Amino acid sequence: MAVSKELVAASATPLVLSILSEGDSYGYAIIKRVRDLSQNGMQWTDGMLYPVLHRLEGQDLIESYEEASPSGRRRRYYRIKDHGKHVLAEQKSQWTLVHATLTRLWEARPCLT
Amino acid sequence: MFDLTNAVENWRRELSQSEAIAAADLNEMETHLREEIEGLAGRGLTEEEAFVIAARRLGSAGDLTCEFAKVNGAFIWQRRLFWMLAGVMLFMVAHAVAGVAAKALSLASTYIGLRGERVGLLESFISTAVLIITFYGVYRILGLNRKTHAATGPIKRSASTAALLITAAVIVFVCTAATRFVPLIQLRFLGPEEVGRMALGAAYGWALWAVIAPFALATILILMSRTKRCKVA
Repeated sequence: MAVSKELVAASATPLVLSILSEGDSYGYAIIKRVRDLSQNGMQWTDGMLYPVLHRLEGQDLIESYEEASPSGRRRRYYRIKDHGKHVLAEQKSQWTLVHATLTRLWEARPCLT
Repeated sequence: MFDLTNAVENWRRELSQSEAIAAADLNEMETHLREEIEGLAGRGLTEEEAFVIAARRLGSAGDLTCEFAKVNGAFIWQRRLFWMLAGVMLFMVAHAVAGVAAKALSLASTYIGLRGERVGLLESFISTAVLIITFYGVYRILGLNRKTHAATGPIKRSASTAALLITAAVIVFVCTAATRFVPLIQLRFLGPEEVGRMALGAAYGWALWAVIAPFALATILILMSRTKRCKVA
């Protein structure tokens, strides 16, 4: 099952911030993590991630630095900033609310008493 | 035989044509592409298969342009401004060359016995014709190069770019100086009366051009403008 484009776009910010809150990471690793976690259900166009990362950087939610990988390749790593953590907490409560609301609707059993 | 280095270079060149994608973005995506290829090759795919899949997963040039355009606004306008100013430079070069060509011809025409308004008229027509020919020439050259080079691609501050711009400046300087010098000779040897009649002829020619030019330019720009590629999601 593939998640719709709109939902992928909307969930990009909390996804990226959540992954970065686990530790610094770079584009390819973030994509891989999303792929693995969603069991390939969330089909990102890989290139889409970079404008998202740059936007978050512009909004001061994350910062980036260059570092060589063990194989000697220069990678751009991203790190979540304090402001990003606050925004993530906000997003978390919003998404949890949406999720809880939908779950309650879908799990509602007819009341017999 | 599939050559990975070549394929990655071609992929990079195609994306570098996009006005929205900066060199830093390309570096980041190239690293991504290479890591993805390695990952896929590790699962038993050939290099070619891995490249095709990795490039496809990164997205098409059109899609990436649309996505990057959302965040690279300032960069896009810097690049556009560069090309606009380059256009002004081209205009100055064409204008200077046209001016000196017209003056040279008017000087020559007085020697073969042409006088008065006719010389002035001839001057304005020659000037306009050279201007149009120069722009058409540049347009053709860019059209031919478009297949191999990015016409509006990244601006590289290379030695050849600097050399080109300095040459342009020198052409403008020399031609403008020469253009200003010719009327001196004419005034000196033909006298004010004759030069005044030449100026009258030139004024008729320029008046005609002033009527045509704005509409001609607008028509050309309309013909050259392309439809937008980005879909509004």
